[in-house]
Amino acid sequence: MAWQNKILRVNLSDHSCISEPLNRDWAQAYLGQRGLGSKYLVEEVDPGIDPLSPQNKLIIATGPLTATTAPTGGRSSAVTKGALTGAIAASNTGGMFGAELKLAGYDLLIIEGRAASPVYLWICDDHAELRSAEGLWGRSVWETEPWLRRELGEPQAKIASIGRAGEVGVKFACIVNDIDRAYGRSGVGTVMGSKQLKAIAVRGTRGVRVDDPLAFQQAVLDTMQVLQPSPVRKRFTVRGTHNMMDVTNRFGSLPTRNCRDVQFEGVEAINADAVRVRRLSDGKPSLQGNKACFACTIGCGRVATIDPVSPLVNGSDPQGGDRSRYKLPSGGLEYETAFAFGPMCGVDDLDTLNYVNFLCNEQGMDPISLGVSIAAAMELFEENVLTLEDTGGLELRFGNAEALARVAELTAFGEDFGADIGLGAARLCQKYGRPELAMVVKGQEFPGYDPRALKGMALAYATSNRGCCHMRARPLLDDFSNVSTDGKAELVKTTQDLVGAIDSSGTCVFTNVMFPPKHLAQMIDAACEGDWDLERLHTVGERIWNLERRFNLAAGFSKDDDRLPKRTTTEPAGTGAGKGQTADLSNMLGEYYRLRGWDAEGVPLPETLDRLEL
Amino acid sequence: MTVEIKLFGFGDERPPCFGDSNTIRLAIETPATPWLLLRALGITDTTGLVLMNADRVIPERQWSEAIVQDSDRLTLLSAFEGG
Repeated sequence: MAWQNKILRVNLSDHSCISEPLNRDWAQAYLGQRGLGSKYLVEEVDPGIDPLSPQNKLIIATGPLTATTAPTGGRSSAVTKGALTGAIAASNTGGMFGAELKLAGYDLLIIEGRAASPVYLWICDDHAELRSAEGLWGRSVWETEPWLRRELGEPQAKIASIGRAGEVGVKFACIVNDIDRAYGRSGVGTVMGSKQLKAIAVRGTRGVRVDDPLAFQQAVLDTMQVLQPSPVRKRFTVRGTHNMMDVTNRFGSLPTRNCRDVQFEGVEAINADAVRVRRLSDGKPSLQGNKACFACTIGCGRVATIDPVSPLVNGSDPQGGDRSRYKLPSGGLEYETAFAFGPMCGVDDLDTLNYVNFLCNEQGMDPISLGVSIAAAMELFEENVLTLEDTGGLELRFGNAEALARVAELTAFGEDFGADIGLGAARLCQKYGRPELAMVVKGQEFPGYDPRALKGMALAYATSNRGCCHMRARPLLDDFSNVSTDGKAELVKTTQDLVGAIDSSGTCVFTNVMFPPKHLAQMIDAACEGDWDLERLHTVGERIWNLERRFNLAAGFSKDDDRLPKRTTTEPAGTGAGKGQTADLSNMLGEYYRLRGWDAEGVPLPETLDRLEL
Repeated sequence: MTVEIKLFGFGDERPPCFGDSNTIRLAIETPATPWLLLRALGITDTTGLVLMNADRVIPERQWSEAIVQDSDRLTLLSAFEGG
């Protein structure tokens, strides 16, 4: 129970949609979502393939708690070999789409092959079919969702789709669901675009059965009694993740101007207070409110507007469309989007940040990768590596808000210099002969935590299986109060394992600081067959981590890829808590490998694989 | 002696003694430990709380030892695992 015990396999090459039983042994070993999706990928995909070849598969995976009443039980993952990185990718989204897929009766959706012409997938409970998307190709996410609901005559359908970015091969294209939620990182939308799959529309009317309904209800109530009064929950609700910006800035861990600096002088114009300041034009603040994903009582999502007199929302867009659509409230700035377009690019114009964020949702781009790639281009420009001729006349300097907005538009459509930005920071900097200026790990761009002061995050970045990521481990609280490498290897390893389990459960990783993980174990234990406790969840998480690692090793990654950009390891932070310090992995990486049960080359030892039944 | 304390990341959940400001100058009569200072500010829950003196983090294990000096400029960060 809690699993639907059914997967849907869609072959785009021969247009078949076939349901098959879930491998229940794998579900017991890998739980669901990221873990179970990764297991299917590892079993079915050769790690050496080109991510954009028909041999790659795209797996949308729900977890056992997805679509239940478990708090935040609306999560799902897109698992594939990442287009940006070539590593295993598992991108996690909220919204409503994943829950709808589960309510249609499926734990997993496995998409394979490549369509001869653009198609979309329509799932309504047991019915699944591929339909032509010729009329949709070229349209944005914001056009696709209402178009499909009209076409299908199903206003309750939930939709995940790619925008232009996924169609034109932007390496960090994402899959957007519910207008402004996304399977964001590693280029999962690029893989979807390579398969000529424009969208997936789902309507599910089934329920989800849990193993012990009374015990599950009690476990949910017990969890809610801890979650609701949590001060951290309240902070997420009221301030959103955006609240973090003041903290990282003061601490000296806010990546600024492509990590040249760790504090940004313009932060007060773009922080969580700035979005509450009433505008002169209409007397309203940028922040309109908050919103929640399926079964979530936190509601960290932001809803924002752009100043109605801004040129960004008036007149014509570069494609000749009416910009007035950007006047409507839509998904607002999270910490990561604000950091990537703000401090990382040296821009302190709130409307521009909101606009580029809207553009990412509309056309399906990962805002972290976009912002960091543009920041790399800005440094290349300031170093005179890029010229005005290269950029098509754009003065791509740090702080130039107008250039940020314009190059983001070009990137979404793969046009002019935007095609270079769409390569991602690593390929961009390689192309122009300055690979050291790419703030990436395993080809994936930095999130908003500079690793020179945050020692645990440095190790988390270096060892993340999907490339640089701030969500694969949770060392931050300790990092802020303990600016040393002591104990970080164990902390990172332990939280990586825990996050692996949370990411596979169908719930949101943000809850890990709002209620103790024993509550998650209790909910899973009541919902699922078998006996589940916290120890077993850690083992599942560790198994997933090693499974992902083995895929990456087979794909050609090695110990040499567990490293940080040269800038962060050789150029000390100029200010803040890490002043004078670099990110130094030497004290931590060996200990981390040992704790993981890996050899000195970062390869899992046979006894580790045996212990984890891999 | 007088110390300046600035808050970051508290949002609207500042200790009442701060009023509408994120900064307070606190007069205390004797050299104090961070714990005494926090008590004077009315802060009892230290979850996610980070104390900095200028750019140096004072680890929580030293909060009952480290002496706050006259004219120190302290920062309190309310940190959580962000997204």
